[in-house]
Amino acid sequence: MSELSLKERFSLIALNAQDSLHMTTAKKAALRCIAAAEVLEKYLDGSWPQQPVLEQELKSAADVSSHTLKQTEKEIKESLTEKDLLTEVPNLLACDMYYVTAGVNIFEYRCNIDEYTRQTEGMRAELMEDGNISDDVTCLLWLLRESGCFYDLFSRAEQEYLASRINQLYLESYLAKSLFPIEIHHSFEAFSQKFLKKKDEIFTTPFGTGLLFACPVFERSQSIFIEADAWFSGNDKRLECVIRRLDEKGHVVHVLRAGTVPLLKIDNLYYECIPTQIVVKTAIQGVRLRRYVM
Amino acid sequence: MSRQRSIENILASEYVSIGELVRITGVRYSTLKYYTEEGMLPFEQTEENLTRRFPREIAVKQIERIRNFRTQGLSIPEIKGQLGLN
Repeated sequence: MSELSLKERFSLIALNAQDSLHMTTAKKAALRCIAAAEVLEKYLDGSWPQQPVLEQELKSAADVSSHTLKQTEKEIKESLTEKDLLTEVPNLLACDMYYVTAGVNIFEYRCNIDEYTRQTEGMRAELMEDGNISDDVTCLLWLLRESGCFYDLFSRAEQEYLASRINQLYLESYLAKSLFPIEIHHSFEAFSQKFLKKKDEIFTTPFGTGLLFACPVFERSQSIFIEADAWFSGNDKRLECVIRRLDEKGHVVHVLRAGTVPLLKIDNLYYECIPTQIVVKTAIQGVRLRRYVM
Repeated sequence: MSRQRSIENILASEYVSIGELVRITGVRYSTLKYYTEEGMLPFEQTEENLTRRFPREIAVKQIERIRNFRTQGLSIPEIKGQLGLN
């Protein structure tokens, strides 16, 4: 348990499960906000400037070239790795049968699991409970909104409750009133994220899940297929195969629920294992991992 | 509005909020909320301020005991029995 800066706390949440090798749109948005977090940090212990000044500083910190973003990533990666809070592991997609057989490896960041829980759940507790919301959490909330991470972290029911909490915060807090109207995200990045989010939402509906099972090519990352060793293997044997594959690829797995559709915590995220089969030249039985928001 | 308390300050306090309890124990908020609602974690709630506050040392020890019982495979009713809450 260590005392982390605002920039480090936000980076832990925003970089978790991001592609570590390529500059994806989602990572760009996260890095812009990591740069903005440094500006907010400067004012946390002092007094907040007038809104136009704050807006100008945040925008110039975030509106930088890809080269500068890469430098920001390098610095925060080094700082978090030094504290044993960030590691690089093969992406979950690399556990998919097609990727394994093709020998393709993709890497992603994994944040320290205990610290990730501490940070996300500590913030959730402060937001969901009655009582004051600190400046730290107000800043984190804004950074999560601008980076597009907010919707990944809170369930739909929580988002509904939080909408009223955020309105209340806007009325009562000088910081929230100054910060919340400021937008630093790039329109194209926000559009891409919204599009991908919409796509995710579609694939988590009963229709979308069914479509994905029939045509996983639409969204491979939401439909990772892990094959079982033998046909008609029972629930336990199937689960063993999944855990073995994930272990081999360096993921940390906890079984939260066994049975026909087990619930797993893989690194910092939750997935359901849906039994299914695919047909290539012959039928291959196994499971698909479906993202689950607690 | 104000800053969050540092870990050092939380660990030196007699009472903590549920968010601070999450930060020092690393247990999920929903889990602690459930334990609180089941009467497994002692807390105080003053009339004028509805925020629950937990006696830090007692709450942390109780969470540790509950974690140990869970590791041994006990169910929640069994743990409540062990804690003398039935």
